[in-house]
Amino acid sequence: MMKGLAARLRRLDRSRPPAGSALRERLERMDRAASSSRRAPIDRFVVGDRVDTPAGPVFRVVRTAPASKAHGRLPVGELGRLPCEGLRDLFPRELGRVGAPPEIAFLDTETTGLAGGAGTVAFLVGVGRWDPGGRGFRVVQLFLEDLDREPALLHALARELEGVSCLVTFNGHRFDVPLLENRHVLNRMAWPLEGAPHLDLLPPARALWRPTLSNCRLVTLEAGVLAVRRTGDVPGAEIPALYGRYLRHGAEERLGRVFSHNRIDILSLAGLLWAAGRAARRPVGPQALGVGLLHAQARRPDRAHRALAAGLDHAPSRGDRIRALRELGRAHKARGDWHAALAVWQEWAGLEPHRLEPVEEAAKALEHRLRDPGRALAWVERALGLPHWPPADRAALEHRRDRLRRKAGDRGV
Amino acid sequence: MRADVEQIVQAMLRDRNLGPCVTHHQVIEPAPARTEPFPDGVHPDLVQALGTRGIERPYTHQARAAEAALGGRAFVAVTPTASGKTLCYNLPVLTTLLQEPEARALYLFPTKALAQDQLAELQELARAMGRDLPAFTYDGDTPQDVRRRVRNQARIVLTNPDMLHQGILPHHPRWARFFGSLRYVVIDEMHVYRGIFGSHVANVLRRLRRVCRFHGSEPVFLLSSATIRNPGDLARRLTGVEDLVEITDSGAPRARKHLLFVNPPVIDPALGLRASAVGVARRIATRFLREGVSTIAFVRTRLQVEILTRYLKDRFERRPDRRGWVRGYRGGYLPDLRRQIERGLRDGTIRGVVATNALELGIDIGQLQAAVLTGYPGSVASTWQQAGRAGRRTGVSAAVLVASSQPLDQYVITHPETVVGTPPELGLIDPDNLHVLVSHIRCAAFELPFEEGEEFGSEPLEEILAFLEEKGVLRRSGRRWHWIEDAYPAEQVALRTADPDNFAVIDTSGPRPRVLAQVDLESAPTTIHPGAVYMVEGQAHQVERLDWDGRKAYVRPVDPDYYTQAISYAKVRILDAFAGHDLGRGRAEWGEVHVLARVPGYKKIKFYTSENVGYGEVDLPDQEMHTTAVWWVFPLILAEALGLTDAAFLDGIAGLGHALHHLASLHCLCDPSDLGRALGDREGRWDAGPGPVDPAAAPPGIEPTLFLYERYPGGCGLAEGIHGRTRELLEGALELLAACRCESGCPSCVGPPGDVGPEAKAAAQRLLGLLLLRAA
Repeated sequence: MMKGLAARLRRLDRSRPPAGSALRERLERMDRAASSSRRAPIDRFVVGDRVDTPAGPVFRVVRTAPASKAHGRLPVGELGRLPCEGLRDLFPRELGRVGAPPEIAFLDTETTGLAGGAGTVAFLVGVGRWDPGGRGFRVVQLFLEDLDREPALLHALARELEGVSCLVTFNGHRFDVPLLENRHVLNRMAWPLEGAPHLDLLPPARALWRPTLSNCRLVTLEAGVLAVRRTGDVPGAEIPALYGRYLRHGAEERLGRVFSHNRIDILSLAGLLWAAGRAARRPVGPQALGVGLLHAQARRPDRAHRALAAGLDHAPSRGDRIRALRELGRAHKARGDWHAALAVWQEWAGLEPHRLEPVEEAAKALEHRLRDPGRALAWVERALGLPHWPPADRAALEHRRDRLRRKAGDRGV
Repeated sequence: MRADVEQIVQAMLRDRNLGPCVTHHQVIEPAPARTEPFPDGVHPDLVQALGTRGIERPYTHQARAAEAALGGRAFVAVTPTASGKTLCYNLPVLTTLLQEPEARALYLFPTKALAQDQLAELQELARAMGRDLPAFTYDGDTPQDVRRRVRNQARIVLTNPDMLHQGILPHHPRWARFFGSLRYVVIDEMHVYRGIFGSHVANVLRRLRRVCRFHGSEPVFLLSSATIRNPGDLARRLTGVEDLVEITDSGAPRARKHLLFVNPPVIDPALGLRASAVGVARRIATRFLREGVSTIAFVRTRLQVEILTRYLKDRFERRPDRRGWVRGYRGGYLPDLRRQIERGLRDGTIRGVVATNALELGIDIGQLQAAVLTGYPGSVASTWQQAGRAGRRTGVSAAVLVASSQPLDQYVITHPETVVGTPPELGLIDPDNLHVLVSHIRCAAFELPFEEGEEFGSEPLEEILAFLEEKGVLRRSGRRWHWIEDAYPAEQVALRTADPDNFAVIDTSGPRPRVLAQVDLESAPTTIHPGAVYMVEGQAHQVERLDWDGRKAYVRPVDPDYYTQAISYAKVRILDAFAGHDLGRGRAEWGEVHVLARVPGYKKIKFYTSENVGYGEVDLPDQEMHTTAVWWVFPLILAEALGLTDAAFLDGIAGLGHALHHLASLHCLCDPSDLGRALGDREGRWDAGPGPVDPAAAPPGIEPTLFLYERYPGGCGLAEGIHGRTRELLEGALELLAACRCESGCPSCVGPPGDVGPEAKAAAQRLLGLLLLRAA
C-alpha cells in the first residue's frame, strides 16, 4: 500500500501531467540535459572581469559615465560637486559628515524576489560613486554567478564601500539595506555600513515631486524630473524570474539588460539628489512646499518658513496646505515671530475647525508671549462654540477656558 | 436560605423526573495540597516576590519542573486545570533571565488571547520583583513600529505557532540577537497540537531548532498539557527532544466534587426521540444559578451558545439589577468583548456563562462552582478539562454531563466507563506526513540553505530536495540547496484550517455601521447567508446582505420567534484510488477526492419548541477542496439479491453511513466533525443531495458509494486509518444496530426518522451481512 517516496512525492504535485505522458517526460529530460551541458556564462552577454576576494572570485562590471555627458537634464559633471550647500541644509544628519563627492555611495540591488525575508538574495549589487581620477561617475556592479558565491560578492561589496560616509538609496530603508544586512548575517559577516548615515530618497522625493507627478516610482520620477527616457528596459517585476532562468539554463541577452537597468537606476538616483539640491537652493514653484517641509523635518525653522510661505502661494491641495500651515506655524513659533504665527494658526483653524493644535497654540502664544489673556479666551470660546468636539478635546478646551477666565477676571478684564 | 452545591446535587438525584435520568454519579474526594520549599537555584528575588503574592512554598509538581529546567532538561508538566502550571515554567525562566542579562525566552500559546493573559501575569511578577524584564506579545496585532522594538529589546516574546511560522522564522536574520541567546521555549497547552495541526507545529519547531542552531543556541523546551494518555510521547514527537522529564503528579489541592451523567428522557419511544440536551442543560443550569452558584455551561456549537444564553437571560435577566448576569462566550466575539466577559467572571459580576470549547483553554476566568456539559465534548480529555472549570480549592463543586441524542453521546452516557476510569485519548501527530513535511522543507530552505548531510524529518531528505530542485524551487550549488523561487513559502502554508480572511458581521442599524463579530470562511455559508438569523449574546440579527468577495455580512437586530439552521450537503468525486479490496459483494477503497460543499437553503426553527416553521433558499458560491477519503461501493444490482427496493437499499446505505461515521471517529480518536460524509455514485454521475434519499432521481446503472472524507485540505491520514480498520468498523456497526432497541432507526444508530427512510435500519443490517458475508 505504501508506495515509494518518489511516487508519493509525485502525487503531491498535482500540476504534473498524468503518468503515461511519455513525450512530455522525454522533452523535459532533453531540456534538462541540454541546459546543464550548455549553460552560457554571464560574460557572453556582459563585458566584465572576475576580481579575487578572500572568498573567491566575483564577476564585476565597471562603467564610468564621463563628466562631459548628460543623463537627461543632469550634466554628469555636476555629480562631482555634491553635496552642495542646499543639500547639506536639507539633509544635515545624513550628509553632514560628507567631506568630498566620492564619499557618497549610490546603491541599488536586483533580487531573487520582492517579498523580503531570509530567502531573498541580492544577485546584482550596483554602487555608483564619483571618481575624481577618472573625471566621471563610476558604477561598479557585482554579480552572483552562483548562489554559493555570495561571500565573495559581499567581500567585494565591502571593498567598493570603503571610505563612504553616506549611503544613498531609493526605498533602501525598507528594502535594500535590511536585505543586505540579512545577507551578511546569513554569511556570518558584518555589514560594513553598520550605523553609517543612510539617505533613503523615497520620502524626500515624495515631498518634493509627488504633488506634480502621478506616482512616486523611480521611472516616473526620472522621466518627470530629469527627462530621462529609457528604451529597451526590462520591467522590474520580470527581473527575479530572469535570474531564475539564468541559474537553470545559463545567461541570455535579456539578463544583460538587467545590468543596464540597474545602472540607469543608480544614475537617476544620483540625478534626483542633484535635483533636490537645486530645488533647495531656490525654493520656488511647486517644489517650494516640499523643500519647506524637509527643512522643517531637519529642524531648520529659519529656512523652512521662507520655503513654506513660497509653497503656499502655489495653492496646493487642502491636505498639503494644512501640512504646510502646521509646519509654518511651528517655524514662526521657533523663530519667535508670534504675529506671523497667529495669522497662520488662524488660517489653519479656518481649514480644520475641530483641530486642537492651532487653537491651543494661539491661546498659549496670546496668554504667555503677547500677554493678552482676553484674546486668548476669545479664541478658546470661539472654538467651544462649535458642536461635535470629541469629549477629550472638549474637556481640554474647557479646562483652558476656565483657567483663562479666572486669570482674565483677576486682572479685571 | 439558599441551597449549596451539595444540596442542589442531592435534590437533583432525588428529583422524580431528573433522578432516573442520572446514569452515573460519583464523588471525587478532596485531597490536600502537597508543597515543599523552593528548590535550590530559584532566584531569591523571585522567591520573595512570590511570597508577597501568598506563595510561600510551591506545589511538588512546580518544584520538580523547576529542578528539571534549571538542570538543563526539558519537561512536560501534565496537571489539571487551575493547578498553577504557569509557575512550572515561569520559575526556571525568570530565574535564568534574572541571572543572565543576555538570556531570552520564547512562549508559544495556541491563541492570541492566552498570550495576552500570560503577558499580564509576567508583568505583574516582574513588578513584584522590582525588575525590568521586557516582555512583549508579537502577533498579527503588533503594530509595525513596535515590531522592531520587540526584536531588539524583548527578553520574553509571547506569540503563537502561526506567527512563528509566517512572521518570525522567515525573517530570522532580523532576530539574530534573540535567537542567538534563546535559552527556553515554552509551549503551553501542548495537547492542542494534535492531528494535522500538531504535525504542522512539530515541523515549525524543527525549523525553530534549525534556526537556533545557526545562531548558536540550543534552547530547552518546557511544555505543559492537559491530561492526555501519552504526554511524554507527544512532547517528544512535537519537539524532537528525546531527553524529557514527565511531570504528572500534581501537588495542587482538590476539593470535593460531584460528577453526574444525565441522559435526557425518551419522549417518543416509537421514534426513539429524547428530550433535547440543550433543554435539559437549561433546567440544570437554572437549578444552580437560581441559588447563586456560579455556573459555566459548555455547548457544542456557536449556535447553541446563542440559544442557551437567550434562554438563561430570559429566565434570569428580567430583573434590571441582574442585567449582564448571564453571558455568552465563543469564537467570533470581538477581543474586547471577550476580555470584558473574562474579567466579569473573575470578579464575580457575571454568574453564568455559556461557552464553546473556546473557554476550555487556560484563559483565566477564576474557578466556578458548577459546570454543565451539554453534549459529550468529543473526547475524554476535553470532558475532564471542561469539568475542571468547576472546582475551587475549598467547598463542593459539581460537573454534569448531559448527553445529546447523537450516537457517540448515547454510547458514552450508557457506558460511563468510556470516560470515567478510562485513560484519556492519545495525542497523535505525524510530523512526517508527506504533505506537511514537504511544505515545511520549502519554508526551511527559504530560511537557510540545506547542507549536504543535514536531516529534517525521517524521510530521506536529499530525495525530497532533489524533487524540489527538479520543480525549480531549489537550486543545488556546491554542497548546499538554495531557495530560488520568487515567493514567500510560509504564506502558502496555513497551520490550521481557519482561513485568515474572516467575514466581518456589521450591524447597520445604528448611526454608524458597527462590527459585531467575525465568522470564518468555512462557517460563513451556513451561518451568515442572506436571511440567516445570526445571534450575538442571545440578541438576534437578520442578515440582509452578504458581500462574499468583500467578506462582509450586513445585519440588523430583529426579534423573531425562530432561529435558522442551514441545510448543507457535499458532493464527492474520486480523483485517484490509492488502494482497495473487495468486501463481500461490495468494495472498499481509499484515495484522493474532490469535495464540493453547497448550501442550498435553510430551515426556520422555533425557539423552545424546535418546530420547523419554514424554509428559505440560499445562493452562494460552492466551497471546494481536495482531500483524502475512504469509500464503500454498493452496486445497485445487489438490491434485488437482498430483496430490497431501490429506495430501501439507498436508505440502508445512508443509515449505515450515519453509524459508520460516528464509529469511525471513535476508532480514530478524532472528533466526528473532522470527517464529512456523502452518498453518491462511484463515477460521480449522481449524488444524494440533502435530506432523505430520493431514488427516483437516481439514473439507472449507478454504483451507490458512501464516502467518509477528511475535512482538512489534503487530508491527514484519517482516511487511510479507517480503510485499514474496515472490517473492525463493520463488525462494530453490526453490533451497534443489533443492540439498539429502537424500531426503525434512531439518532443513536442509523439516524433519526425523517433523515432516513422507514426501512433504513433493517436494510443497513442486511447490507452489513452482505459485506461481512454473514446472514443478518
